[in-house]
Amino acid sequence: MAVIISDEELARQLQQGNETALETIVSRYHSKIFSYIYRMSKNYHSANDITQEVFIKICRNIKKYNPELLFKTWIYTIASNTCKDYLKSAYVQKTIHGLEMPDTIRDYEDTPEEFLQKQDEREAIIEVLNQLGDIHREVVVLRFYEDLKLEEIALVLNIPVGTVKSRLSNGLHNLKKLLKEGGEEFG
Amino acid sequence: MDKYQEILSEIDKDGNDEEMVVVLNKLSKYNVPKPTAAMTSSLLYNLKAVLQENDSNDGVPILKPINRVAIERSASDGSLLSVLRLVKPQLAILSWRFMAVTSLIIFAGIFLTNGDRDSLIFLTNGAPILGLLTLFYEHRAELYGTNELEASCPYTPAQLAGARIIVTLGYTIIVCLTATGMIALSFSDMLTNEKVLLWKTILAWLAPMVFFLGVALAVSLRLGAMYGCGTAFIMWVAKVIFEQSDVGRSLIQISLVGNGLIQRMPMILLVIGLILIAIYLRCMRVENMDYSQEG
Repeated sequence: MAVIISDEELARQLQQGNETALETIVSRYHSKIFSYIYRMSKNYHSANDITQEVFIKICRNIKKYNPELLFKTWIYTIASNTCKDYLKSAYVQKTIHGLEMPDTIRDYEDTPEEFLQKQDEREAIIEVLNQLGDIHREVVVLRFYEDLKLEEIALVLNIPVGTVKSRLSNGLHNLKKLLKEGGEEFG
Repeated sequence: MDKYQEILSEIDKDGNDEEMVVVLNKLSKYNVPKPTAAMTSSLLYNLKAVLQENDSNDGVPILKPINRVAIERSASDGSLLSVLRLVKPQLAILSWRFMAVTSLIIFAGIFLTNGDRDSLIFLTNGAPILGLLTLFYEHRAELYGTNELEASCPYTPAQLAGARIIVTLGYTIIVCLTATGMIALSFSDMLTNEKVLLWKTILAWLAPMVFFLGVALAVSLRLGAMYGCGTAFIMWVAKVIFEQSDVGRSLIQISLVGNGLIQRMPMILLVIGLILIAIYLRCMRVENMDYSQEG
């Protein structure tokens, strides 16, 4: 029976320069971090660049990581901060925003009609998520899509758990309001 | 559904709240593309190179994060001319408003103290503050995290540091020399004993100014220019408080007569300050850096 090594043990091994540990960490987290950053940056190519930068920072700072803390929250903290820095940069605000094209994701088992319907639904939720404030969107994304617990989100964003809870609540309420204003049906 | 109920209970909502369940259903429609196998391979390839760099760079960090390539460039370029070329753009960082306000404050202080011995005390205490303020203002971009961006410029960190020191010292010395001139014109004794007293007057403010600038720059090697200026400022406050104390006043009285160590203190401070500045510039050219970033 295969033994699953914990993230913290992998991080310890990575601190010793173990490349196998690095490969395991990348296989576990590349997709997750990419999807988180994609939802925050709204751009496929930017998400790729930022994700790469996040992992480079993880490697460069791995000796600063304290194995007694959750590795997952450490990684997401780096990802969150890197993403914010990127989105704040004047270059991004000037050149990338407004040039985004919605990426299409196709399930090849769908009929064309099903594909179009799914695409419409996807674009509708993307639009309302984009209208949410950054602080609410971030918590909603981390909780709903990344499945982080409230306590973990609090560590990642360096805010109290109560604040996470209220941002999540406000974010979901705002989403409901925006969806209603957009003509979405609720029951 | 369990996940939905968990989230709804976290926001104090009933698990049967239909509208919220609709919202969560809508959220679940937002699928994202996954990274391709090629992207993952490329990422791993780059990360392994970083791991190897980590192994060859194990050492005690001396400076704040600066691009390694930029530091390596500085080893081959020690030209003074390139530093002087940088002075003009670095001078532009000192806005005319900053220069106008700071020099006005110094000159107003001289004027209000009637250009006599109180003016000398004002200038002696004010010169270090002017120097620290100028240093802080020159390095204020650090507050916006521009160190790495600067390090990617063609000029090396050592050249930038040299140019900024020239600008800081140059501006402060010009303002304080002008203030000294104002004092000299109003303080008639200084005109008759021109050489000796003028020289001593200049040393009285130049020495602490260079000393505190040296302290700020030395501390900035580890903690950045902001903390460096802060540390030097705290030391300056301690110095001023000490000079107002009984012990401090006695020492000042002793320094006015005789030829002991206390009388040579300004020169000692000047030398220490210059040594600290030299160490700062030398360290800016060191190759082994810790370029760890946030974590």
